[in-house]
Amino acid sequence: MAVTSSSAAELKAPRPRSESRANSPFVRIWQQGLGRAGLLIFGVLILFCFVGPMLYTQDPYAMHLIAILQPPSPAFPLGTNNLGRNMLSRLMLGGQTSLEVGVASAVAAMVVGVVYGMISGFAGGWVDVLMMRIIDVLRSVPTLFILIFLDSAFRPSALLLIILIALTSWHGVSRLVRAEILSLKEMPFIEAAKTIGMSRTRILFVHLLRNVMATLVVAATFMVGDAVLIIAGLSFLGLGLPPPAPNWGAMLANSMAYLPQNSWWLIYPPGIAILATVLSINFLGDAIRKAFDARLNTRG
Amino acid sequence: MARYTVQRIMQSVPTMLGITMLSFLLMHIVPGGPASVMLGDKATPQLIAQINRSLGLDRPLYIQYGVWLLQLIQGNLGYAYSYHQSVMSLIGLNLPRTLVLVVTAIVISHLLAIVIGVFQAARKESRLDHGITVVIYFLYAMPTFWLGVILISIFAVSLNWLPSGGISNPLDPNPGFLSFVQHLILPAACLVLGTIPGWSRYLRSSMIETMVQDYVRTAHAKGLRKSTVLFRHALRNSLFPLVTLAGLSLPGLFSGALIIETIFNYPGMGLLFWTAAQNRDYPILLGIVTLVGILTIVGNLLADLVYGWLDPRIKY
Repeated sequence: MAVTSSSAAELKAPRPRSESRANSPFVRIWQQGLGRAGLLIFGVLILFCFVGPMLYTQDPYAMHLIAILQPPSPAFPLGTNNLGRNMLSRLMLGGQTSLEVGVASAVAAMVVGVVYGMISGFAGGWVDVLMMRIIDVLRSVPTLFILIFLDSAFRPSALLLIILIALTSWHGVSRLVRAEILSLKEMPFIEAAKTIGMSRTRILFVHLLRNVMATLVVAATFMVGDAVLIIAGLSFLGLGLPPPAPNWGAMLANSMAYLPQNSWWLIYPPGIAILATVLSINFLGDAIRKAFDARLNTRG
Repeated sequence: MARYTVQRIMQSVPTMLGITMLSFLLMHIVPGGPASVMLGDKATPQLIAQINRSLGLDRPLYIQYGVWLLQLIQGNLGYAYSYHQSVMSLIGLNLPRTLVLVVTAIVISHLLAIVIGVFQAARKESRLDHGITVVIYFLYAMPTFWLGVILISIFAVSLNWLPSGGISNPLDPNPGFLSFVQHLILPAACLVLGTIPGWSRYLRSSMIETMVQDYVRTAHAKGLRKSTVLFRHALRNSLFPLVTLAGLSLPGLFSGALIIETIFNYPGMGLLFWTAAQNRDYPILLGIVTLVGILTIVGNLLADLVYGWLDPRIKY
């Protein structure tokens, strides 16, 4: 007796720890090359945009009129624009706006999409058909066209822009969530929950939502990347975020006017910043998906 | 096939109606409503009241929608006040240019995506395959507008090889067809580079799936050359889904074209849309939203029909 119990304890004791470590999503993401690259690049970007301005305290709005359109120099590490503004400070501040609005609109779009998809999938019948038809319509009209229309009609503030992006880019998530709910709601554990008299809302928000979480985290990650691109694109087109606060898209648009002067320092830094953001987010999204997949596989 | 075609067309009718409803809704949520949509900057309370009466905007919404829809079916998209032209004639002028751009890009993207996808699948997991994957990751995350700016700064400004924007008439003997092609290269390249990542990734995985099929092994076993197996047997069957994919990428292509036309000052529907947004010329905006939506549905419909025609296994 004593022998078996001690050997069992020996076997058991270290295992849960190593298992839980291997199963922690963060570790699984870090173990993948792509995931590590994504986390590192994104981390550096966050530090650059949010901690950078604390260390590099040059005013992004100050106009140095004797130093307009200057290439990079010790005084201005990323040069100056047509108003003699420090491009390094502007790149940092612009990143803050781009990232904040990107994350906020992705979160808002996720909320709309998840609720819509869950209702559609859980309700079934004609409600589902109608709700999916509406999505078909939204999928047919390119989001950018509707956004530009709304943008020109309302000239939105940052907050309204977040709402507009959420209202136009939620339908992809809805379809994902609906598909998962459709298959999940036939599972025995939902039947069990119904049998013990659980309310529909509780089943929906506790049991079903918890099980689509993995899909949602992946979708949300990619959506942040998409939202950063949409905002940059709108601002590039002269819509989107209102001036004078800098953002990466508007900085690029501004550089267009000085192309003939070959002012490369206006073109490359904001573009690289957008590219690095989207790239790292896509890396992360892929790594998170693999991390969840792997866990599902080991369980199944 | 005929029954399927009719069925499939009938299926897309509700979605098209949905698009007209969406446009109608957009028209009504504009501050000031449809009257200010038509009057634009000239809107005064008196004029708005006058228009509301004369256009029957005081009648119930469903009647208004019916009237508007009838006009739409007759091809009347309203009057563009910033151009002093009907929206239909403006679109008639600009749509063909956008289609030239988009269709050129679709064709070239397909060819390149096929080459890249097949190559990667043939050398699966080699160092080169991984290298290309990394490049594709970068292209995938590349903002179209930045790509456009870079292309202009390199090929138009620094090297001075190609025009930085605008368009020239292909039928006009002076400056001729070559100039037309030169104007098309940069915008089309921009659109192509934006679409290749998705399509080539897709073809790579589709090819890899096909290459483990029994008939491919049989083809190898009977001693066919590797390239014959690759192109004659595996590629053919991996290609079908690409048709559907092209249909599904239409909204993305139109969005891409909008940004690209703005950067390259290419006078197509995207540039028209963008200019109208600056002027708040709502009839143009709504006309284009409706038309792009309908074009997308027609495109998807065609893709489905072509797919059915290519793959006789699909039963209707």
